[in-house]
Amino acid sequence: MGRAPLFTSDKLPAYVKALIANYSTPEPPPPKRGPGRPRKEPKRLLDPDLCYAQVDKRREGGRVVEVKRRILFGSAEEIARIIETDGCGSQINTAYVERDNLTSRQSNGRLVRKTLSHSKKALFLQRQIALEDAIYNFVRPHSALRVELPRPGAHGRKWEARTPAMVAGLTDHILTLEELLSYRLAPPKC
Amino acid sequence: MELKRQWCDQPFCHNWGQVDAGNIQVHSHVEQRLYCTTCLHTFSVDRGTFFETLRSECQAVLEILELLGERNSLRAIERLKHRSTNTVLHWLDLAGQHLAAVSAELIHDVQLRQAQVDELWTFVKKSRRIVNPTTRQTRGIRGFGVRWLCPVGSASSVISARSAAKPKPPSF
Repeated sequence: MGRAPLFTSDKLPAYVKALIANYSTPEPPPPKRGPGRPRKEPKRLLDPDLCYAQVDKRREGGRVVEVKRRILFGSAEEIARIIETDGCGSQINTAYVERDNLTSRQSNGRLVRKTLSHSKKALFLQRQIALEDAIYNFVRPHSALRVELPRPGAHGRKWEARTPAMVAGLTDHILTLEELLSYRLAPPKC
Repeated sequence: MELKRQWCDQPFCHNWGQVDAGNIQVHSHVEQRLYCTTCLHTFSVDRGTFFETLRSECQAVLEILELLGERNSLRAIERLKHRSTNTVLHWLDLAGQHLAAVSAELIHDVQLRQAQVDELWTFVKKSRRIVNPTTRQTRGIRGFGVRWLCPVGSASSVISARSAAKPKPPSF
């Protein structure tokens, strides 16, 4: 695992526990133990590179009236530097994941709100989400990820469309659904 | 035929599980079969993929899965493609399993600088309410203009059929 990314979320307390569980190591026991009962679970040392901030939105009548931003792990300077370098907004936000939620609801009929199209079995909801995720990551080009071609291509094309998987370096071209479904998985490791 | 990512799955073969080891060759282009040069075992090119157990035409299945990925409902696909709901659900089950495994295999060691985490609210529900026969009958024709009540014919006969089907108010 490389350097811990900057995490931002809403104020759900489960995220803090999950981050501590994944980005910490158990403290080594003291060489010379004093009197008293030893700890059942050792103290955990948090990854010093971990940065985590929460966005707390207060609503009144369904409208956001106040936004509080809290830094739980990491320094404000480090977080500001990461946000400025990446160019993802000007301050701590969860706008991108909220936008992704909307895309999910637009692509997946089972997630549409205020309709009767919700899932009746959790299994098929999982399967549909897996299908939708794979299409989003590997098949459907993202308009914000396109890059300008150095020279106009065929038919005067100026931009090269890219999928999130291409940007992440996982694939080298836009996959089709048939390619994904024809992908043979590696053998199970014994 | 694509020979990349193919491997021999015979347990007794010396090259078992070795991907791109050079031991897989084309056995038949017509039958779409490959063979292992080590153990001479032949197998379908679709082995270990979503298409392995399919009996329907691949293009039709792909079209239906693409429709599912564009927010279409099961009933809409049933009406458009003339496939039963259970068939579509079976394909969705197979495709979802395969794509989840493919995603898990392909997405790894992604160097992230930022990660935003959030929840997505939805629910799974199956109505199990037991209705009495009176209520069921009322619910069945509550639409008053529901299409299955309309016989083939002129507009006037449709209107009369609808009027004739108007239910009495239920007495509880």
